[in-house]
Amino acid sequence: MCGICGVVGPIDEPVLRRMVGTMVHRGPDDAGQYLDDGVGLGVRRLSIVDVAGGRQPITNEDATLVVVFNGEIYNHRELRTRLESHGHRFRTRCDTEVLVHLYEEYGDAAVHLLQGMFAYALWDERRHRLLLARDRLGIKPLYYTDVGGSLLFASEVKAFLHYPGFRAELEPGALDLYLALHYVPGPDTLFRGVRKLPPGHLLVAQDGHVSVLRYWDLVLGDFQPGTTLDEAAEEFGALFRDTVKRHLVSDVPVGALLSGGVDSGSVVAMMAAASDRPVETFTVGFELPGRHNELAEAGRVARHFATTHHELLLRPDAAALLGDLMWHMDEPVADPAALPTYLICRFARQHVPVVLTGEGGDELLGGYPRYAWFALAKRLQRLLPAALREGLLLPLSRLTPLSGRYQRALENVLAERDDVARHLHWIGVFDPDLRRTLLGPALRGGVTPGLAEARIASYFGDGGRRSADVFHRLMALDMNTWLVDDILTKMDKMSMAASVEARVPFLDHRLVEFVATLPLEVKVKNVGSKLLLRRAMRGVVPPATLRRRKHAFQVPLDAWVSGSLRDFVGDVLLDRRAHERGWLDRKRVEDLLSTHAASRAPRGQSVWTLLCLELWARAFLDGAGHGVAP
Amino acid sequence: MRVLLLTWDYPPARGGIQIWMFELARRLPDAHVTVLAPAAGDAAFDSQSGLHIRRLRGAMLGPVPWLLHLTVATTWECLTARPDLIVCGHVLTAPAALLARRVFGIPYVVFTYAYEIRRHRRRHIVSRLLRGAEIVIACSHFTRAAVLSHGVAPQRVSLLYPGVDPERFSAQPDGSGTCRDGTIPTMLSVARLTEPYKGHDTVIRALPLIKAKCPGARYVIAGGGRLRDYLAQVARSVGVEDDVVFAGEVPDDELARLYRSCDVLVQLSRESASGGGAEGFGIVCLEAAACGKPVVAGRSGGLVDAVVDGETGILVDPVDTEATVAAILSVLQNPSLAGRLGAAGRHRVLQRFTWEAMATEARRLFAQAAGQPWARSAASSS
Repeated sequence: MCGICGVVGPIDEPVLRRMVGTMVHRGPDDAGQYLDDGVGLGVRRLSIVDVAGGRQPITNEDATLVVVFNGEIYNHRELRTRLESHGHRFRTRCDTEVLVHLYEEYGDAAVHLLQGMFAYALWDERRHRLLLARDRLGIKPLYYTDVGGSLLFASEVKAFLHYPGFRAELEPGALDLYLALHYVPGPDTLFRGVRKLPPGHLLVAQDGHVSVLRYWDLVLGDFQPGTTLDEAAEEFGALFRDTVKRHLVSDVPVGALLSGGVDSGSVVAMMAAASDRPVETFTVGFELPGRHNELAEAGRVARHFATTHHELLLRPDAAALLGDLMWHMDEPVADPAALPTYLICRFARQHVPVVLTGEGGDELLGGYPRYAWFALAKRLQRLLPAALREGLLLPLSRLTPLSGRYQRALENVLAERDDVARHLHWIGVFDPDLRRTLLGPALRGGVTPGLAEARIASYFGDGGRRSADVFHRLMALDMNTWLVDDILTKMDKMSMAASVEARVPFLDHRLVEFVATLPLEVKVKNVGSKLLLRRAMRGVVPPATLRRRKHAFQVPLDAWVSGSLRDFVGDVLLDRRAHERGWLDRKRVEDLLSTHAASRAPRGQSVWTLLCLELWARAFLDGAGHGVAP
Repeated sequence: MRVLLLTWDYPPARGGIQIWMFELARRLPDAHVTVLAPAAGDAAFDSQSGLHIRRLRGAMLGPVPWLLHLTVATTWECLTARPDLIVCGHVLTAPAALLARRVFGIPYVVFTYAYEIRRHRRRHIVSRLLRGAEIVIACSHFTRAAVLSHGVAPQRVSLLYPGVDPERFSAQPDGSGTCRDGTIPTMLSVARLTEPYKGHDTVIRALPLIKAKCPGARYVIAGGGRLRDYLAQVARSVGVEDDVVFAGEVPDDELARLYRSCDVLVQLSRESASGGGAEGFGIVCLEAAACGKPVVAGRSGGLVDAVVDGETGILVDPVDTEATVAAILSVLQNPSLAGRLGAAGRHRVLQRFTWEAMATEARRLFAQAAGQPWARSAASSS
């Protein structure tokens, strides 16, 4: 795992060194760079494969191709054998080296042969051409921007801060996306002019011309009709076993993050089967009331597979950590799970530099109950007139003694809404009206609310290109937005902040391609139950774990915001700096805090979203982050 | 000797088993074959063939009503015509034969392919039907192994390969001209687009890599079915939608021309880990070979019998994209290799895979199953 950056344009050694230096946490073991007329590539390396020989940048036989690489190619040994049989000569055992030889053989199309997670930059010196590539699912990040005609790219935006002429500024349009979703879906970022290379895309820069093109897309649909759950589970099990085995490729010890749920439990099961040594597993429990402690469940899985288990019980101090984490996050991702993710990675780092995790299991296996609610709402909309639903059933539903969460779900099912509004009602933070009134004097008029709605609408109303089925649309939407720009961004940035490489076997593209084409009733039978995984793991994972619902690393956000973090939140959000920025209307923010404090309708996620935004602004726009970074 | 052939698959319905059953029936003229087949045919076709065919209604309602009809008809034939042997074209029709054996003591043989005997569902029923047969005919070594896994005694399992008509599928253009347009490197697959295991998706995903070294290469997919939409989406997802040509269902008389117009036939069927999907033999490999074309095929199922690796084509791991790319490129970029493989393929078809060769062997097996010396005398007199 590594951090990479580079410039096509004027660049000198000290600048490149400072750019690379911002990402030392991504690769504490080694640093390297390549400088030539009008081009510079830099890399920090966390040594995993060919620890001694895999120094980057790596070149081809005659040094006309240079590559810097972040990620892991799980099939690099097979590719290498083939390339050698075609006459290519290797100097290292490192997976990075296959990239230059594959490019010699297949050009840009070589990316189709890679199995794994990756972001890389390949400089073709003879053609004066830069190729950037990002893996199919977006597991590894890659940002790029244009500064005065120079193309800059990096694993983390903070590398750009050291390039002369780059100014970290807010992109007001993206703020609308952020306030709606609590993260910014690609290709936008909250930095003006900075973009994310979308998953499954290449970028080519040549002769001052930049083009971005897609090389892979998810094909979702019911394309294996008649396949039974048992048949699918058998095939899935075989594929998953092979996938996890491939994810163990490493010259250094590999561990696993264990949450006690079925996803990480299955990963550990497959690791235990593939390895002759005990697996190292890690769990962090929190000294918090309620269901936020998974030590017992994780311990059961660990005992079952006789792993070398490490557990840690701690009380997270969000106020002390969150500023640092927003610096590491690059863009504000207001997912409170970032905190436990960072802490468990830091804990695991004391023992292993690489961990496997169960991330992506929910998205892959259609595990969100809101899909079923959504489908139900669509059915009711067809069957019952709006007047009946809105005039009678909705008021009646408010009389039921249900908790806030279920009230909200019921309302979303009964109300007359379009797809976009319904989706945002479930996963969104601020609705369009709130977003409009929330904006402060500096941005009022500069932001057109509704960008988030338009972005999401493209997944619902895409003229038959995507599967007609509402489930498939929701899955495609989640895979392309929430998974990439919340889950995976959080996983990458938080693990890298602790200098740990996190691997996500559930997002192996072969596994994803297989599951994506299964019949809907197999994929999402009893939505949220992940029946496919449970059936495949029957007799492998302990039954008690198979029966559990996922509660991985959840954080009692509402209680935090109104309890231990209350003063911190007030200090940050009502601070002079926030006021001077003028992004948010102070009165509205105060209202929000007091509404939350009154606890009639907890708005923990809303408050957290604003808190992360302000801490991000401090770190990047006020320059506070520079001192924080190592 | 009288033979009663029970088959769900029969022309004018299309497919490999359909042709096989037709060729089998018409190449045993001295066996007094009566065919019981679904009523999908037309009277003109049946009268032209000169065979005794009884078309049974009910197939429109699905297999079960038709099989009931078949059972009644088989019993009637047994009562009235007393066949010496019942031949089941597919294990699906074997229940009627098993009943006839129990009631009338008439032995039966069953043809086996792949999916129907590999799938998990109703496996115990299939096992009983196979074990009740005098001889189980397997279309490849792969299928033979699958039959043995049902507990059938090895001496009762016999290999019988399908054949090809080397005049219809010939290397020379038949005078109507070829549709070989210029020098566009063309890969071809011929199969119904109904089974994911056929591996069209692997070829499509390999296409960007093939194009990188062989610009302009295109992939022609002959056959129709519900997977067409899926394959079109896969093509779009990797940016080769303009390089994949869906030729749809190709009429029989066009098929040979299509083979001649390609540079390589690609048949990347894989063995699915579940559900039994796999290629039983891959008759299209022989058809292409008869047309003098090299074949790149998956090292899976019966394809291993249909293609001799390095001699008539190249076998690759069907889920290995790089190996697939390398194999296809080696043929596309090396016309002399392609020509050699193609010529050897046609030679092999003429030597071993004609319908006459199939019929001669079938005749021997049927005689053995019926316990009659008919085949030897018939063969020596012919």
